[in-house]
Amino acid sequence: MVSEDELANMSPEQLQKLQKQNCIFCHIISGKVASKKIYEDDKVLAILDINPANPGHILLLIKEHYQIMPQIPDDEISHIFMVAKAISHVCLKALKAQGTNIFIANGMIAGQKAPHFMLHIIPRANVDEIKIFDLPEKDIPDDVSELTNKINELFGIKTEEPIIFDKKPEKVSEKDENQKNPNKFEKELSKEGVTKEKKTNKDKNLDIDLDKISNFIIKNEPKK
Amino acid sequence: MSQKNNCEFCQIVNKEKDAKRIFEDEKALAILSPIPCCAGHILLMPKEHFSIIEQVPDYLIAHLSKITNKISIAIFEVLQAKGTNILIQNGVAAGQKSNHFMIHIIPRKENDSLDFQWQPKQLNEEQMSTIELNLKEATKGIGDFEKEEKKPVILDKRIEKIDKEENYLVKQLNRIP
Repeated sequence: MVSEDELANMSPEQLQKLQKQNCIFCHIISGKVASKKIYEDDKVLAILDINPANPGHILLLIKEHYQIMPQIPDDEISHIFMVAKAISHVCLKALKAQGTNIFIANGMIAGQKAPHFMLHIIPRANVDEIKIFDLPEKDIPDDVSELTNKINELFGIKTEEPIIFDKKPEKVSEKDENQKNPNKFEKELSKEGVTKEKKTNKDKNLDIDLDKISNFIIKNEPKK
Repeated sequence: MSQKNNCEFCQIVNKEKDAKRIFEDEKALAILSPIPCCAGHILLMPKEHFSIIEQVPDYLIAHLSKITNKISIAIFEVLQAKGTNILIQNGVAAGQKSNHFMIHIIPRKENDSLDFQWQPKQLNEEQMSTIELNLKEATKGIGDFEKEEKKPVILDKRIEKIDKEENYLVKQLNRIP
């Protein structure tokens, strides 16, 4: 085995080599460790998971050793997704699955268990009682401008103007008029203020609608 | 057609409905999920309406996957996520809620109360072998991937573009007496 001192003195290339030597999936790819191979081409290998979430759970591996997705070049990413689509189709046809989940975990916190990038394809049936892929729903306000800029930067697009979200003009009621000034003030506040303002507007809408409904009911009540 | 008209996400693509747009190009759109499972939950979808991944052409899958990777990188850097999950729910049995195909990109942090760990099911050797045989037989056809047909370039449009951008080379040429 390698001592810690030796590890500290290793070059990145040597470290990568060592990682490869210790990676079980690299051994599977090279054939040193036996596996149930489903599909293989020059870039990827698909095997059956030995601890499947469902019968037919497939691991799609890139033959090159990458730990996480950001390290993978575009052509390999697009190839693995196209193969994933084809295998997903095969699962529907050959295993008579009623659906499939295609799942990637990037990083330990996301549930990644091995330091080799892989894509899970899990055939699903209506009665399989796997609930983890039903996403919970929460209400979280969010700011997107920073993220947008970063993605555009990665694509080499310059963002010149901030993106303004179209808002439909709202009906002016007495309530709105009273609160016009604080509204203006809020607009000048930071991005947080914008989300807050949106929320209060939603609430107001709700109030108006309820009033209308109650008026409507009162007007149309049959007179005895 | 009716499916398209009723689709909430087609309405978002056509700007008939508001959404927080994160990235957009001619084929794809990424928005913040209207019903997020955590802060920064992103939906990436093709602009054209497809219900399941089988209907999406290969070249579009390739295009979407590149964007997925870029968004994932951006999430790491901007949201300081410690990990990301990428999830496709294909079919109602797989948890798909809307009939517009989309890729979920989910930033992960410590103690975020999300959990994608599954309970491994125990299958015996025979069951595994039958699955292996079935799948192996069926994957033989994989290999030819659809490529995008290149659209003919319309010359008039190209000239217009150059005019708009005021290409500095053209400017230089104009200056020559």
